[in-house]
Amino acid sequence: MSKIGLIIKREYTTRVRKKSFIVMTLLTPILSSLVILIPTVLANSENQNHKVVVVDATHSFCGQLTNTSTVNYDYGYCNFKIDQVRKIFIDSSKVTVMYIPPSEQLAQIELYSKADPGDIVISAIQFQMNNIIERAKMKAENLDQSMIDKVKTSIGVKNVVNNEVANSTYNLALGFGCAILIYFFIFLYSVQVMRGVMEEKINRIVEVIISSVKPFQLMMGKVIGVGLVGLTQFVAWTVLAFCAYTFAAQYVQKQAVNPDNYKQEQTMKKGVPGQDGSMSSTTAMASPTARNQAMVSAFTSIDDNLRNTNWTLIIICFLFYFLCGYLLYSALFAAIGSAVDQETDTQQFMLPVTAPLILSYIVMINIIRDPHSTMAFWFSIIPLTSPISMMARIPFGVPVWQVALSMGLLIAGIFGTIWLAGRIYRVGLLMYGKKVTYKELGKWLFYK
Amino acid sequence: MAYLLSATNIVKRYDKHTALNDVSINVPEGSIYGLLGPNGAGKTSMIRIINQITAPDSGEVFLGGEKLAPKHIEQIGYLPEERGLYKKMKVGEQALYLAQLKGMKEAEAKQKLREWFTKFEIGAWWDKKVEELSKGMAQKVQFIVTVLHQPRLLILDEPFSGFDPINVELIRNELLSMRKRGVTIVLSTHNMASVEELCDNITLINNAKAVLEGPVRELRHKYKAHTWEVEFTGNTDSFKSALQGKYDLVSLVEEANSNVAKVKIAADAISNDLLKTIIPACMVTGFSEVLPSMSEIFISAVQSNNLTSVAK
Repeated sequence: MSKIGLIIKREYTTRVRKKSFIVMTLLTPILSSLVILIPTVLANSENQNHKVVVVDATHSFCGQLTNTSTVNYDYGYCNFKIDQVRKIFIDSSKVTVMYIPPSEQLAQIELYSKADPGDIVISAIQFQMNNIIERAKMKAENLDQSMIDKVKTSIGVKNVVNNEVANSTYNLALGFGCAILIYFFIFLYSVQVMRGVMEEKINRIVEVIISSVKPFQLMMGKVIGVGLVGLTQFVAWTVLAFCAYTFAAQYVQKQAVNPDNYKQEQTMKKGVPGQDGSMSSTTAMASPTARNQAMVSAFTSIDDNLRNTNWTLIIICFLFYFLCGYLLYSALFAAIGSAVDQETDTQQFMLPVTAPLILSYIVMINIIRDPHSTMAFWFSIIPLTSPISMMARIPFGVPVWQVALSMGLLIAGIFGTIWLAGRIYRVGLLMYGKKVTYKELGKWLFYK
Repeated sequence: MAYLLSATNIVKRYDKHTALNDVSINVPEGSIYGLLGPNGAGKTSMIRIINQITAPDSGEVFLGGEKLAPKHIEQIGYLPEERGLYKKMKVGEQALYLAQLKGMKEAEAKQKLREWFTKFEIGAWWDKKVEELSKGMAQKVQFIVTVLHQPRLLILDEPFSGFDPINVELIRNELLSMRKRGVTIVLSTHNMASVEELCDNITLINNAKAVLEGPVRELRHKYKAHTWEVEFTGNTDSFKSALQGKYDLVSLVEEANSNVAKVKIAADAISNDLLKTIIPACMVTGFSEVLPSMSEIFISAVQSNNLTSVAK
């Protein structure tokens, strides 16, 4: 095996065999799906209804507000005096007293509580009050409900790009997701390269090694080895995601077609058991429960989008920008690692290297909102920012010449940073006990 | 004489500082060569140039008559002064990795490593992590890795540091038997006793220049003060009066059964004449020339060099 191959093998195997790598690879998808799921589940299961005691001095709202998933109205004190009611509930932290003051043109209501009921409860009350008053006003102007319904409008947009129906929200999510992934991979693994270089330098094993191989081979071996670790992790995550998706798809389909589900439902409705066992599954699919229907339609829409995506393009571009972005930055991080003696000294050099990375992360929001702007163009062409910026644009469709230009410049950029890093690296490795300045780094470039 | 390693007129500059200023060394094949000098004199720069870690600004290095090239890396074994190992890696695995980097085949390296591990009584450490080893243990592993690929040229920078006397002896014997087998060794050390004992030739570098070079034996004779040590029994007064006017008595230590005197004679004088003078006055039990230690030569050479460079 060639020497650089040996180095790659060592860098790869020592990292992949680590317990932390295995745990991270398995745990990260679980943790990240939990991060998404937990708030959703919590929001859905919010049964902690807040009790709102209504005191109405106008005597026209009693019983008008209807209970929601978050608010329970109590009309038991509707005609009481507000001071009385406030005294009763002065120590109840889960009760809010709502006071509607006497007024011809009601402009404000008052809430009294021991603990702030929070924005969700207040918005719910506000929304209902507005609706009730609006409706009352419309009635006063002789507008009836059917007319109101007629006036209400909701415009849908069918966005056809290149003769195909495009979903901007979905493209936005896809671009955002790919770009974020690249951002994190570059950061995570470049820092690992830097740590690895520092470990060798601080351990003092580096002089033994560079008496056997060229510093450049050592640097590239490390960069490539760590890159392969990143790729392995990515492939593992993709496989896990694909399994999870297939599993979810099967589950949803089962929910939709399962005749038992349907039977139960019908039984409950009609109170007659076993009558509809012969129903065909097509009909059954047409009328599942409302909840299932929502789930299935959401899933179908995601599924359609997934099917309509040009995955070959996305995957090729993703892998390209993922690997090239990593190569570009990890070489620079290797140079930083070689130039310093201790972790704390890395800060001064990290800033200028990470600045373009962080900048492209920040402007990404603007890029996915307006993927064809001048800013989006320049950010996706310049090598230091293009891995993230271009990836965010790809799902929206980018002219071929732009992608080609961006890729070409990125490859040129990689040669540039690797050359630069190699020059600094070979000198930095054997420099100890000196705090290095930029001026000195500049000189290192021209050492023989 | 056949030189395995010659470095001629090496110049190496860093920024404003000159590490090596026109230094040449010639290392005969099958000898142990001492590269001496105070800290910061330029020894490590020289060693790194020989190992092709850095390149000289001018000057050339030849190994076995050929101009130094990357293919020579496998013929050199290098133990740097500041040496370490990967802490989290297992000892055997790591030794195997380093041996393979020197161009050895895996199977061959494994077999040789087993032999060395047994010889150095560290066979049980194969699967231990380096961080579990003591400093001395790690040094043993590093030494093995340096010599495993049977290099023609061995460059050792402070090889004895971190070892206890037993292991110093182990390494010393290993070096001597390697010399016997024809291996050439360049030894950089501040331990002057081991230089006297092991080195055939030395070069002393000070302030980036070679200030002293030659075979150890010749250097010690060259720098001798023509002082003889006389051990005798009998009256010290008659000994003193016998020397009176002819020779300088440098020191005299009186002990219960034997006295030791140091006597300086003129550079062209003959030691037998001294003996003839003192034999009538006492009973001579021992007579030998006092040669300067390498340590004394080192100090005086460095000091006089520093004085002249300051004078300039």
